[in-house]
Amino acid sequence: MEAPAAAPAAAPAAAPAAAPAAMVEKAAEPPALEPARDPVPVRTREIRIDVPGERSLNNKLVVGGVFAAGLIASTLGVYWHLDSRDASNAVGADEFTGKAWTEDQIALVDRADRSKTRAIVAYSLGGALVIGAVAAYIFTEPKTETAVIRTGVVVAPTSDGGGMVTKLWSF
Amino acid sequence: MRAVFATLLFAAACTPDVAPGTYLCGPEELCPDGLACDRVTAICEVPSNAEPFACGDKHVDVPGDDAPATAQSLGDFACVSLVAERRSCMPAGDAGDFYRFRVADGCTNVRVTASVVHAVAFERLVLQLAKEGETPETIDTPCATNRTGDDGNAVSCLDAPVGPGTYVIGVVPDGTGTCDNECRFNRYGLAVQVTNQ
Repeated sequence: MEAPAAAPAAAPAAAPAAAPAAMVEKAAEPPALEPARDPVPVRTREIRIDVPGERSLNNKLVVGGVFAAGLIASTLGVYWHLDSRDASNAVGADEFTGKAWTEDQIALVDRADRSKTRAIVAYSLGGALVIGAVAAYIFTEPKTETAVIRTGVVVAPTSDGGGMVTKLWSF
Repeated sequence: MRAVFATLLFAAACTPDVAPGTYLCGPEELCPDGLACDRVTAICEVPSNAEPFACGDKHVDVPGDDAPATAQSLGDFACVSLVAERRSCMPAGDAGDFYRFRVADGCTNVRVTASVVHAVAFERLVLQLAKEGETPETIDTPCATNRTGDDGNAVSCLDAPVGPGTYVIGVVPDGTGTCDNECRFNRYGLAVQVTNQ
């Protein structure tokens, strides 16, 4: 009755002793290479940048030229306006002057009227040109373009068991 | 708002503003647009206030002096005389006014200088000179003082050598400045003097 009882007890004792030996043999062999996994993007982001359009040289010349012409015409208008005012003040009177109304005064009146007409024309032309230049500047303004830059960080394992972090920009 | 008013004022200053009564009438009743020559004062006025020509109290026309034979007397002049002055009038249709004066005996190398000041707005007047009994001739000498007529007056001068005796000096229209025969009249002041040459 005692022998059968001893045998089952020996078998479980031998088994734990053989297991460490097998593990040592297995550790001595080089590990099998695992196939590289696909990179896994961790996070992506879009950056939008407004890029202002640039005026062409021709546009600048045309708008600037019209504006300059308007300024010149307006300046001439001021000159004739002041000339008209001087002539008008020279002949205008609201109290007795003691002078006779002669051809000199008539010439001053004519000069005042002539310069006034010129001033009106110059003001109108100059104003139209300046307004036109401003309008052209506004309406011909180049459109702003929006550029999108996509960024992302990719973490990928390498074949040798390491890892790689990649920063990406695309636009 | 103030800027708008300032701008309007600035722009409005370009049109001459000539009020009535500010200017004397120019040659041939010349006046600013919208005004007419008042022939009494020779001032440019509103047309409704412009009155017809009148000699006035200061320029009285003496009748009967229209010919040398019926000339008014200015008196006797010494070889170097005082200035004899007369104010008179030349109404429409008046052919001229004549004045007589006598240069004292013994005067040698003397000359008569005379000037007639009249309104530039009406007909132009000139001076004539002759010895008594002779036909007067117009003598229009350049005046010593150059006047521009800006004060509303024009001047005609006479400068001629004279000797002892009686002379007749006349104030007559020269036919110009008559506004196409619409202003053939004038008021004048005459000054006559005898001086050494």
